[in-house]
Amino acid sequence: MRTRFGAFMIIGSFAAIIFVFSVMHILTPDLPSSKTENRSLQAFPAIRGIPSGNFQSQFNNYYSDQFPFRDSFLSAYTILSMQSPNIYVRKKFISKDGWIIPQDFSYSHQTMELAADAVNELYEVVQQADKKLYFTLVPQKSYLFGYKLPYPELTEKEKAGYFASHLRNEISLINVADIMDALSPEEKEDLFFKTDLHWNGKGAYFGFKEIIAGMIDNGDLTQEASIVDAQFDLVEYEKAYDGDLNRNLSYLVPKDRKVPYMVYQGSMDLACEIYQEDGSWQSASFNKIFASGLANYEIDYNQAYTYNLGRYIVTNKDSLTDQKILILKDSMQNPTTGLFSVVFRETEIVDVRNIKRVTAKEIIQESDADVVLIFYHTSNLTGEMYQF
Amino acid sequence: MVFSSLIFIFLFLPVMIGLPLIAPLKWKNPLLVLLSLFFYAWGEPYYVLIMIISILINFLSGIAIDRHEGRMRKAWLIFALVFNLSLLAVFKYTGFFVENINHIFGLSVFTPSISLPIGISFYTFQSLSYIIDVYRNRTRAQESLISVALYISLFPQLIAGPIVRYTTIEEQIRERHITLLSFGEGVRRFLLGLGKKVLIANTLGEFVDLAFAYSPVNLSTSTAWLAILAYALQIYFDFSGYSDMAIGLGKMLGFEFEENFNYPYISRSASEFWRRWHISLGTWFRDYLYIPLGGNRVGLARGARNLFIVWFLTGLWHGASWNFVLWGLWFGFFIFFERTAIGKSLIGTKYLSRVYLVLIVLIGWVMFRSDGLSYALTYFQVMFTEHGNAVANVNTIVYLRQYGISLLIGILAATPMWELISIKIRGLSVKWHEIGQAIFYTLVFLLVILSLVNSTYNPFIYFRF
Repeated sequence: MRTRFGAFMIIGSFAAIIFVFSVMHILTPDLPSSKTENRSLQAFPAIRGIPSGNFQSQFNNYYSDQFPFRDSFLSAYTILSMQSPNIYVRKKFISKDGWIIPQDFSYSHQTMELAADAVNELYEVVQQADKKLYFTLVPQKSYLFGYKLPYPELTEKEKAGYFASHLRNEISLINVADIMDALSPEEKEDLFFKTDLHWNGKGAYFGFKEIIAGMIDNGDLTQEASIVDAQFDLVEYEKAYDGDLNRNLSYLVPKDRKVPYMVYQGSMDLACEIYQEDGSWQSASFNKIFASGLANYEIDYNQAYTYNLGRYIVTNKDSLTDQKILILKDSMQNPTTGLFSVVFRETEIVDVRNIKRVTAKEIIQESDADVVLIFYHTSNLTGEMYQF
Repeated sequence: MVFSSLIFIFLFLPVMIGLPLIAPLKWKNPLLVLLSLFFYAWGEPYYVLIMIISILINFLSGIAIDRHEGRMRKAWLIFALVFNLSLLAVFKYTGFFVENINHIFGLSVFTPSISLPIGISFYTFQSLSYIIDVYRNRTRAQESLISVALYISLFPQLIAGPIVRYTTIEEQIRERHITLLSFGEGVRRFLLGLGKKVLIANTLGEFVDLAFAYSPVNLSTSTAWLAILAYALQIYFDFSGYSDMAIGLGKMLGFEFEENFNYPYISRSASEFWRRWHISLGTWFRDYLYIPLGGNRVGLARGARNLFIVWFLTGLWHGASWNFVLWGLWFGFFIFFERTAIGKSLIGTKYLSRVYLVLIVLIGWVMFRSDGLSYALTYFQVMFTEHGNAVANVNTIVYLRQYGISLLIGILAATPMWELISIKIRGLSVKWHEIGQAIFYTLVFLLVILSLVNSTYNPFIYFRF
C-alpha cells in the first residue's frame, strides 16, 4: 500500500462489507429451517452451555446458519459451480437433458461386510421366528444412469455385488437393480424422476412386480398373487415436482412435471395403523399416509408417496392372499406401500432409523408375518440402517 | 475459533480491532490482553487457565532471572524451561511416550487421552524464547504483567504463529503507531491470507481428503502424485495464509511481525527451503538449540549429531508420531548431504536443483500427511508404480477436472510471479495499481464469503437411505 488513496479504498470496501453483513445479521429475523438443505437451522443457543463449550460451538453454527442472504449465497455458489469444468456440482452430475445423477458413494469392503454380517445375523432371528427372509436390492439412480455420466466407470456398481456375495445363501435375494439395468435407456428413464434420487410410481411398480414374481418362484406366494398389468391403470398428475436432488441445487434445473401412479383397479378395503412414540397404535386413513400432498401443485417425494414413518401397518381385507409381510425399508420403498397391500392381507412397514422403544429384531419376533423383506437400494449398504 | 470463519470476520474482528483502536492509550494493552484471552477461551474455556498460569510463571521467572546472578539465575532458567517443556510434554506427548514404552517393553500401561490445548506448541515456544533471551541478557525482563501477557497471548499469532520473539515487539508493546497506510496494508495482508486459505488451500484440501480417505492401493500412480502435489500446495497456502492473516491483524493493531514464509517452493536446496518455510520455527531452533549445541563448527561427527537432534525435535514439534519425526530427519539428512561435495554441486545447478528440491519435499509431505508409516510406505509404492497400480484411471481425469484449475492457480501463486507483475504495474501507474488492488481484494473478500457460507452447507441427506 503506497498511497493514502489506495489505503482508504481498501479499508473502505472492507469495512463496508463487514458493516453491512454484521448489521444485517442482527436486524434480520432468524429463520427456522432451510428449504435448500432440508434441515432445521441452528437457533440462538442456551447460555448454560458456556462452561462445556457447547454454547460456543452452537453459536458458531448459529452465526453461520443465520448469515444474511445465506440461500442466495448457496444459489450463487451452485451457479458458479455449474459454469466450471467440474463434473459434479454439489456432488451431483447434471446432464444436458436435465437429469441429475448423484455422485455415487464409496464404501470400504470392511464396512459392507459388517452390514452383510448384520443381515446374516438377522436371518437367524427370522428363522427362529419361523419366517422367510428376502433381501431386495433396488437401484439407486447412479446405478442405472452411468451412461449419462462423461465417464460411466464413475458409478460404483461392483459394491452392490460385493455386498450381496457376503449374504448367506439361505437369504433369498431379488436383485431388482440388475433386472432394471438390463432395460434400454428410454425404459429406464421412464421409471425415474429426473431431478430426484428416487424412482417414480412406474419404477416402483416395476420393482414390486419383480419382487412378487421372485416370491412366487421361490414358492412363498402362490400364483393367485401374480400381478397382471391389466389390473393396473397408469394415472399421471401434472405437478411441479420438487426433486430432492434439485432442492440441493436451489431448483436451478427444470422440474419434473408429471407424478405417475399405478392404480389398482380391483377392490381394496384399506385400514391403517401408525405406531406412536409411546408404544401405542393410532388408526388413520390410507390417504393420510399415502399421497398426502396430492392436492398441492408443488409436491415432493414424501408428499407424493409416503413419508419415512417409523412403523405402520396397512391391512387390506380384499387382498389377493391371506399372507402378511413385514418390510424393513428405506425411502425407495415408499411408493410401493399401496402395491404390497394388493397382495398381502397385512403389510407392516418399518424404517429402522425412525423407530424408538423397539428394535427390528423385537418386531420380527413379535410379528405374525409370513415373510420379512429387506427393501434397500444399491448404495444403502452400510450404516445405521443395519442396526437391527 | 479460526480467522477464516464467518463469526470471526463479522463479529469478533470488528470488536477486536475496533475497540483497541478507539480505547484510551493506557487501556489499549489491558483491553488487548482481555480480548486475546477471550478469543482463546472461546475455543478453550478450561485451557485458558493453563495459558494464564503460563503467563504468570513466565512473568515471575523472567523477573527472577533478571534479579539474580550465577547459580540462582540458572536455577530460575531451568525452572522456567522445565515448566514450559513439561506443559508441552504432558499435553502433547504423554500418549506418544506411553505407547512407545508399552511397545518397547511389552507393557500395558494405560494410555491417557489428553486433548491438546490449541496453540500450545506456539505459545510455549514464545515463552521459552522470552525466558532464554532474558537469561542471555538480550533483553531485560518485563516488569509489567500486562505486557508479558500481551506478548504471550496476543490473538493474531496465538493459534498458529508466527513464533514472535519478544525482542521483535518489545518496543511495540510500549509504543506503537497506526497510520492509514499501515492499517490499509494490514487489511490487504489479512485479505491475502484469507484468500489463500479459503479459496486455494480449502479447495485443494477437498481433493487431498478424497485421495487419502482410503488405502493408497485404490489410487492410480498419477493420482497419487497429483494428490501429494495438492497437499504440498494446501499446506503451504493454509499455513502461509494463516501467517498472512496474523501479520495483517498485527498491522491493524500497530504490530509488525516478521515474515514467516518466503516462496519456499522456489528453493534449490533443503537448507534454503528451511530459510523460506516457517521461518520463525527454523530460526527458533537455530538460535535456541542448534547454535548453543555448537552448530556446524564442531567437526563432522558432532555437527551431524547436532543436525540429528534439531531435526528430530523439529519433526516431533509438528506432531506426536513417528512419521513426523521421520519427516524431520528426512530434511536433516538432506541438509547434511548438501554439505558434501556431491550435494554442493547438485544444489549449484540451475534446474536439477529445483527438481531435486521438489522431489524431496513431496516425498517428505507423504510422510507428513500419512496416517502412520505403513500408509506412507504403501503410498510410496503407488507413486513409484511398485504396487502394480494403473498409471492413470478415470478418477485421475475426474480429479483434474474438479481441481485442475485450483492446482494451476496454486502452482503459479506459490511463485513470486504475481508479486513481480504487481511491481511492474505499479511502475506504470501507482494510482491504477492501487485501484486494481482494491478491486482485486474486494473480489477476493466476496468470493471468500461465498465460499465460507457454502462451507457450512450441510444438507440432510435423508435420501441417502
